[in-house]
Amino acid sequence: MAMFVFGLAFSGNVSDIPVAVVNHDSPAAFGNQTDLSLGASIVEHLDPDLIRMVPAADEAAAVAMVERGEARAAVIIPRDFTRDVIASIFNASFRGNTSVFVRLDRSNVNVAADLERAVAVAMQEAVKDLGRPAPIKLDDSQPIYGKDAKFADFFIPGIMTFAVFLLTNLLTITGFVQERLAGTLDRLGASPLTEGELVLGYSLGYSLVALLQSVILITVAVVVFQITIVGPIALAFLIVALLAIASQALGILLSAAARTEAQAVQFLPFLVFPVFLLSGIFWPVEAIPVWLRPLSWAVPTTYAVEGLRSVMIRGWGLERVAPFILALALFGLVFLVLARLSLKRSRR
Amino acid sequence: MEAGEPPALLLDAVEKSFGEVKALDGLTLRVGRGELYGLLGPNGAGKTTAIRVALGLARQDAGRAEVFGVPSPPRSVIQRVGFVPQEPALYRDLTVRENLELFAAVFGLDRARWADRFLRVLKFVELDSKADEVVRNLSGGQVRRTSIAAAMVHDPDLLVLDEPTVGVDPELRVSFWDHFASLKDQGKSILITTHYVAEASRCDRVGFVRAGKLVAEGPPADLLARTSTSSLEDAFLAFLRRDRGESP
Repeated sequence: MAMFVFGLAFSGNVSDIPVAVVNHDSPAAFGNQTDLSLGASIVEHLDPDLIRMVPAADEAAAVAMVERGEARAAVIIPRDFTRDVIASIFNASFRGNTSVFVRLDRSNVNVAADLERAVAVAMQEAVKDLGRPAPIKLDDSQPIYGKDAKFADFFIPGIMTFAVFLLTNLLTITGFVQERLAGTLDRLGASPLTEGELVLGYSLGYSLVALLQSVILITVAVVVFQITIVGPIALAFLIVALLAIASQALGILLSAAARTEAQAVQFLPFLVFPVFLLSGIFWPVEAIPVWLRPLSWAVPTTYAVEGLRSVMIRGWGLERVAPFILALALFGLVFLVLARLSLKRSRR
Repeated sequence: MEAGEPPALLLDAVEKSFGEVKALDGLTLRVGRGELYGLLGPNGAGKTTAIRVALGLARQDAGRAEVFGVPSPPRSVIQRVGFVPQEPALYRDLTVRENLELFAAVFGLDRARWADRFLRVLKFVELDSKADEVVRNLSGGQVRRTSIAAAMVHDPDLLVLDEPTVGVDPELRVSFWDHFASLKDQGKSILITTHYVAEASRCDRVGFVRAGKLVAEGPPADLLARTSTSSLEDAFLAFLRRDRGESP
C-alpha cells in the first residue's frame, strides 16, 4: 500500500494549478499575416496539464485572485504586445510593451518555478514561427508573495509540521502504552480524575512541548537559513499548538489499539506515509494526481503546512488563515472527543 | 457493622466475561467496615477482575458492585479509596516524592497537608530516607512500598491491594502484613488479593475464589476447622476438591 501511495504521490508532475490570465494584446500585421496575435498564441501554448486558466478581467482582478489564494500566479500580457514586439524586431532600441508579466505566489517555490517555466516555454513557442529572434521578456520581478523566498522558506513550515506531528504522536503513543502497562492509567482511573481531564492534561503538556520544539526550529531557521517570516509569528505558534493537540489526541486513539510499545511503533508507517506524501511537506500537494487531492485535505497536517506557509511566506493575518486554523481546531476537537471515548471504552 | 451502614465494598452475583472467557461467574463478596479481607485464589481466578469491577475500571455484565454503598463506577466516593494495582503503577522517571505529589494533586489533597502526609506514609512504609530517590533506582521491594505509599497519600478509608506481595521477599512480606494489620487497627477497611494462600491467615476473613466463583468464605480459623486442616493452603485444596465433587 505504501508503494502505491508513494508511487502515485511522487511520480506526478505539478498539475492543475489555477492561474489568472489577462490578455490585453490585440492582433497586428506581420509579413503576410494580417492578424498575428502573439498574446493569444502564448495563452494557447500554456501547458494545459500544468495550468488551469482562470479568466480575469484585468490585472487588478488577477492580482486580487492570487492574493486571496484562488490562483497561484497572474499572467499579464500587456496592451499592443504583438505590435511592440514586431516594432522591436526591426528597431533594436524600441522601448515598448515587450514583456509578459508573471506575478507569482512563491509560497510554494516548486510550483512557482514550474509555472514560470511553463510561461517561458509558451512564449518561445509563440515567437518560434516569426523566423526572427524576438526580444520578448518575462518579467517576474514583482511576485505577489514570497519575494525573497528560498527553498528553505518553503521547507521550514513543512519540517515544523512534520516534526511536531511525528514527535507529539510518538510521545503520546509510547506514553499511553506505558501508562497502560505500568498500571498508572488504572491508578488514575480509580481517582477523581476524569478521562476528559486526563486527555486535556496531555494536550496542554504536549502543545507546550510542540511550541518549544517550534521555537527552536524557527530560531534555527531564521539564524542559520535566514528565512524571513512575513506574517505574525504568534499565528504560526497557534497553528503549531493546534496541530500538537490534534496529534496527541490521535496518539491516544492509536495507543488504545496497541498492547506494547513494539506494536505502537508498527503504526508509524501508517502515520508517516500519508502525512509525508499527502500534506505537501516536501512535495507540493499540487503534484499529487487530481483525484487523490481530496485525500490531502483529509489529513490535518495539510492544513498546518498550508497555514504555516500562508503566515510565514504570504504574510497572511488571522482573517485569511482562519479557515486553516478552524480546520485544525476541528480535527483537534474531534480527535479529543474520540480519545476520551476510547479511554472510557477501555473500562468495559 | 452497624445496621444500615453499607459495607466498604460489595460485589453481589457479579458476572463478567471477556469474549468467551467467563472471568466472574456470579461472584459475591462483602468487605465490612474496618475489616481486613483476603481474596485468595490461583492466577486467573478472577481476583483482579473483581477489583476492577468494584472500582469502576471495568463494567460488570450482571450483578451489583458498590463501594461505600455507591454503585460502580464509585466516582463520588473514590476519594475514600486507595488502590494499589498489581503493577507498580508509578512514574519511574520521577522521584518517590514527585510520584506522591502527583497522586496527592490528582486526589485534590490540600497542598498545606502534603509534607505532613508524605512523611507519614513514607515512614509507614519505611521509605522516608528514599523520598528523593528516582523510582527507577529503587529495589523491587522499595518500588512495591512506594506504590502502597502512593495509594495512601489521601488517607483513604478503604485500601484495595491487588497482589501487593508478588515478587516481594519473605521477610518483607511479613512486614507488609504487619502494616496491613496496623492499618486495620486504625479503622481502615482493606481488601487484599493474593495467590500466596498461607500469608492470608492474618485476615479477619478470607474468600477462596476459583473460576470467578467464591468456593468458601470465612475467618481463617473457621475454614481450618471446617476442613479439619492445619493450614489455609490445605483448607483451600480441600474446598476445591469439595467444589469439584459437588459440581462436576
